[in-house]
Amino acid sequence: MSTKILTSLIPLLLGLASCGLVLGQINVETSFEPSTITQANSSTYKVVIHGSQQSPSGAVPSVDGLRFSPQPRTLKSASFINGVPSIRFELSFAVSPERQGSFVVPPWKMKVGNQSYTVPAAKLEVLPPNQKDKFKQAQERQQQADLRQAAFIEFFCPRPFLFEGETVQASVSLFLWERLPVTRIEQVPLKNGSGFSMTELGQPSEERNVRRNNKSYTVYTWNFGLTGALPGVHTLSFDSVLRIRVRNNRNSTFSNPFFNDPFFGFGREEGLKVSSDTTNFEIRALPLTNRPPNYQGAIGSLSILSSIDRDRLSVGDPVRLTCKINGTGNLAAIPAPSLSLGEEFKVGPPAFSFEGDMDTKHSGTQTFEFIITPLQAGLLEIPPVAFSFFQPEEEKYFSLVTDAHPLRVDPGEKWIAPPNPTTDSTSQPVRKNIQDLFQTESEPGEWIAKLATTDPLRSSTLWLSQFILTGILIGIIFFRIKRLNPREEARKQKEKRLEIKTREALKHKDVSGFHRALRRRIRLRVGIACKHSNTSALSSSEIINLLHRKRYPEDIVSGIIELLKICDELEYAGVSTDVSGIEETYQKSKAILSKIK
Amino acid sequence: MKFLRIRFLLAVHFFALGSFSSSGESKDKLFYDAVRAEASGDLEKAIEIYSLITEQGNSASLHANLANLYFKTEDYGRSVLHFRKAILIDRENRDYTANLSLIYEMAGGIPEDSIEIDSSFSAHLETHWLIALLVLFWFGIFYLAFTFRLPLKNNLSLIFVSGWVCLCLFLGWGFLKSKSQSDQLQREVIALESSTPSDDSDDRIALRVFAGIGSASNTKVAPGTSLILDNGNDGLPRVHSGPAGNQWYLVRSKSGPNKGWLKRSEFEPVLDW
Repeated sequence: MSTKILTSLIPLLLGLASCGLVLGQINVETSFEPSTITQANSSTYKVVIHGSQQSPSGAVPSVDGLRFSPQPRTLKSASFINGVPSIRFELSFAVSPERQGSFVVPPWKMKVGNQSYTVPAAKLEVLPPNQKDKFKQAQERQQQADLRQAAFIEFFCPRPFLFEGETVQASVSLFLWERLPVTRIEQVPLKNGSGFSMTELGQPSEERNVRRNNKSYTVYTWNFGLTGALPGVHTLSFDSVLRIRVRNNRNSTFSNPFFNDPFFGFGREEGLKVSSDTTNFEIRALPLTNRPPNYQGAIGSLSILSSIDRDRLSVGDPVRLTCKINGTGNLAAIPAPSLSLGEEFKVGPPAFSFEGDMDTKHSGTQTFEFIITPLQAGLLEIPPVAFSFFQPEEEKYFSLVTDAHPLRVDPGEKWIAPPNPTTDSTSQPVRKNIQDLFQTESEPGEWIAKLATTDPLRSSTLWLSQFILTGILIGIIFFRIKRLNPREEARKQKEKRLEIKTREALKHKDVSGFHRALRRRIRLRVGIACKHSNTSALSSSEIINLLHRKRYPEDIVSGIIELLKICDELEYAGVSTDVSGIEETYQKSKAILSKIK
Repeated sequence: MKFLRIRFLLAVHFFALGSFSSSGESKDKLFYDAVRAEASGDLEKAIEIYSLITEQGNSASLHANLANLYFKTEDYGRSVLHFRKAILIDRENRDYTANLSLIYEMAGGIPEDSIEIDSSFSAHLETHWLIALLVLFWFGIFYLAFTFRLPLKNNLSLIFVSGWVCLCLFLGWGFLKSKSQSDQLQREVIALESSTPSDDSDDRIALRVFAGIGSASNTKVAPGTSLILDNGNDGLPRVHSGPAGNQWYLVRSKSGPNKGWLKRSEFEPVLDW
């Protein structure tokens, strides 16, 4: 009965409290639990407000050497103590010490409702770490080190420093311990650090069974083009995020460790951030000394070639000048070489194209295509194209010049533009002076007697070839039909089945079955070879007689006699377990039967 | 006797060779004469000589030059005709195609379907389609003849047979389409000029309702328009001979309903008859 009263009273008390009704005097207490800890452990700073369940407001003062958790755990409770109803509100902060010593949280003010209350001071004693703590710390360090060995990133750059604007082919490798239950790579390695630009990471190459730290790893490597952007010393590192399957924190409902084991597909997925070591990388400015005036920013080991698609044309006809810059370097960033063609030519904007390593754009051929139109007739020349680049290994500028391209430009025909077509269909076509519009052919070319289409279906060669092919086809069909003797086919099929049966018996060491099948096979083979109509009725003596009559060599006949003898003896000898000789018999029969045709 | 027979055969051989080469030489000579006449500005003479050569033989240059001359004399119908002939002989020459397009543009009034678009089903590819069809057909037939066994045991055989049949059908369809183009080309004519003088400046050619000068016209076409001869039930072009001995042919436009009778002197076939 009393339990029923209590259970009905508690919600009532809680309801009253939540409405802000204060059941008596508010009292605030603080404490550290435990109040004495070692440096490796943590304590809880607890603030208990008796007589209220309203959320207080205020800030815990910061104490040098202690770290408080930003969000406290809260607990509201209501109870009867010695028949007196009691409610309270608890705030619990996790506290971690940063050093050993005695720490005091000074009194501080908090507000509950409209009233301000003083939170009393609390003291925490932090002792030096004991042996257990040291062991625990060492274990944690070991775990960290193990985790770093389970998955890590390595960055490789072929050069110790870069010049501003220089592009190199770098790579970043993600090492995954083969026993680490990685479900997927959530985020491919991302660059940390300004001062560099890099091309997008494409598909990685995968390498398995790479040994490192006495462990076997699967390594995913991404190649990319790394370009130095800002001069100075910059840090560079890479981060990646993996999804791995780990054990469940809570035990399964079946209380069986199997249902927590990530190996069996249970457990849960968690993100694991993997980082590379941070590298300090220098980007140097390009030297100003000996810089050619036409230098446009090309860096690398490069060469240039130019070509034209034709060297004889008329005024106004376009000629295509192709400049190909080949080698390794910042090919994607190289601007088109500038052409100084003078008044004789008109040049359009260049078309760009790149062929080579599309992932890094570090090695290959960058092509610039100019459409040049000669504006006057005569023997003209497309002047050489000058190109300068900086060689980062030698730290020198180089200047290259392509060949000049002579052009023979003819005056061309006089062109009179045709009239604009009118929309009125009834109007007459406009007559124009059309002299010199077409080029007259001065050579007659190849003569043909008659202008007519040839009807291939009237070709006698075609029908003759069809007739021959049809004849061949009929011959083949006839030959195949002739060969299709159903009795012969049936016999062949039967022989094949018997051969399979013999092999099966040999395989299963079925001695009597083997000899029975072998005997039938000999009978059939001899019957086919000697064209006997009823092979199944042949006795041993009849088989021998047939072979003699067909004049087979004596060794074959004697071999058959021997085989038949073995078959007769063992087929009717009842159950025999002597399997030693059947393999030999099989090989022998195979050799002899192949000679009977 | 035997020696005499050999000498006779050799003489016949050399005579045949000589006459053949002299014919070639005369055509070349006439061609150069025509080129010179054209260069000297005597276009009429050049046209006359070129026309004379066309009775003996054909070449792409000959027809192209003749087309140029007709174009210069503003005879667009004949210009179109000879450019068509030149293109039939030398399909790769883009100048001829460009010139023909220009004539169509400058002449005006020539429907767009007159311009032949070189496609995969052109008349000249008829033999290619047929050869491809026959090679594939016989390859499949012989393969089946050697390997075919009923029932078809695996899907691979079924796929092979289906694929072969489909390919044969496709090539057969291509051949028929190309053959239809070829048949059309054989019946294709170019309207040249009207045989009846017109009061107004309309130089278009009338396609008449009946085969006779006095008949009203169904429609009129511009010189240079491609027309197709209408075949009768016997598979030959429908011809009507008039009382004055004039021959009239029933023609229709390449696409569309334009149809009517045309006098023989008003058109020329693209191919030699």
